[in-house]
Amino acid sequence: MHRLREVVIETTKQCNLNCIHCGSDCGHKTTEDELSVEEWRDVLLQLSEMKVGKVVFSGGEPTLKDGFETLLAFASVLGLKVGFISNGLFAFSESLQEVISRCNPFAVGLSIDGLKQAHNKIRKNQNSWQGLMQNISILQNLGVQICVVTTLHKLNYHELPRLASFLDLVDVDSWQLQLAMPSGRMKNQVNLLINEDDFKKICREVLVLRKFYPNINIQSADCFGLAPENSIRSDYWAGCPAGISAMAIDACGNIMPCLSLQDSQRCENIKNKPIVEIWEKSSGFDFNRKFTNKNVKGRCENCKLLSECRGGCNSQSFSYYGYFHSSPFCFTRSFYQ
Amino acid sequence: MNNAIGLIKEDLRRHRVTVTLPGEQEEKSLYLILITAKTKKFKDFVETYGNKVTTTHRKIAQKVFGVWETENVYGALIDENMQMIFAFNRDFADYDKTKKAIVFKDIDDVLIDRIEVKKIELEESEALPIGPKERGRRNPDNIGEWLIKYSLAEKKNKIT
Ligand code: SF4
Ligand code: SF4
Repeated sequence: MHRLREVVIETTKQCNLNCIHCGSDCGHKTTEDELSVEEWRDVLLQLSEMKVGKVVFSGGEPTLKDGFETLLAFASVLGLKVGFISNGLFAFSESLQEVISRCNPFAVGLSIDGLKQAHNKIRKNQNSWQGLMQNISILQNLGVQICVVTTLHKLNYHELPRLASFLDLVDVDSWQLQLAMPSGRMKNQVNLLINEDDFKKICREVLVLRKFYPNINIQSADCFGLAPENSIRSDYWAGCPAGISAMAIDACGNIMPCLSLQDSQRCENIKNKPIVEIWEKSSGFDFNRKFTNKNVKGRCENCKLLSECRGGCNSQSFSYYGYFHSSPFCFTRSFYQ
Repeated sequence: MNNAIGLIKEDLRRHRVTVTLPGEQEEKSLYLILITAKTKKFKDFVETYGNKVTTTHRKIAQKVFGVWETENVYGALIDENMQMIFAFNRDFADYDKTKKAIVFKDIDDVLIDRIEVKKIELEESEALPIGPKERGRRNPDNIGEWLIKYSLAEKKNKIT
């Protein structure tokens, strides 16, 4: 039996920005069939009964969801370890600040894609940076951990050293680096996606920055693939957790192995079945749960570490090739094989 | 003495500018001179940007400007009676001839321009640890740690 430890929630598909690289193609409008606050409350209740460790409200822009504050507060009352990620365009309202200080989230994520000019260009909004500055102040005044999330592509990865220097000055707690991939709006911008050479440069940069900025908890996300401990991230990575120990729920209540697996099939909808039943029985997780080396084609086919890694990040693999277990980028493959 | 003032005024004529001062509507004719002084740039920063300065700006500014006195160049606007009407630190503002106004630099640009990038050279062999070892078939209990895209990293050793 697989224990569900982390759930990423697509709180809403609505967003007040229109970023170049948005993997979910979120827009200004909300769709009619999005879950109501009542339905989300029920989801949270079920997750707490399943003893899920961590819930992250993602989006779209979660703070735009009517009742978001209620959900955050409710999740925390249920004892769930909770965090949320925002584009930080507008200063968090006083009522949200009040809820944040009551809920004590393990972290609040702010998406920062470069220094002011690059960030505003990628976010296609001239005020975007200004909002971030305000929210960093707000969160630091509240004593909440800030995790900066940077999605890397050709427009911004060169800025990593300057951005690191800036984040060090600002004293953020964590910095999560992730790679853009051809899903959502990025499908129309494949020329901006990094190649193997870029990936190696990024990894070398991350290795160095982690050594030189020990006060920032710099972590490369799953999409960088298997890597030795304390190289591009702190911990040992045991392969894609989608359907093994983590899953996502989209804004309409569809359960997905990972929120980044936007183009693969959804599992089932929480409106039709209890979440625990979907988690235990849905065949939508089989690609990862019933993994055998035989399934594997492409880039990971001959890797000695395939059994434990299962071909790296499945959302990367799926978005690039339309099949699982063959991540286009892998630290181990790039540097040791 | 009167003669000296006359000479100074004569010299000042070259520095005459037409300017609409911040917060005012009407143009004034003033003299713009440059003065160098040992002062605290951080203090000027806070005074210049007033309520635009967030805690984050303040934190960065303190680090990039320091809190000690350094040499600063000021633009000073004085009137016919040699009275100082307005002054600005040229790191943060300047007189714009075309606009006939004092134009302030964007608060974020001022700070970002000051960011120094450490030139970090590290041999790959120094940076790269020994490669990952084969651990055999994944043990279902050994799930390691992960960092899902659009989830969040947490600083575990943070003392709060
Ligand atoms: S090459 Fe593929 S299977 Fe091997 S470690 Fe990298 S991602 Fe995993
Ligand atoms: S698909 Fe990628 S980002 Fe999603 S859980 Fe798997 S490894 Fe992590």
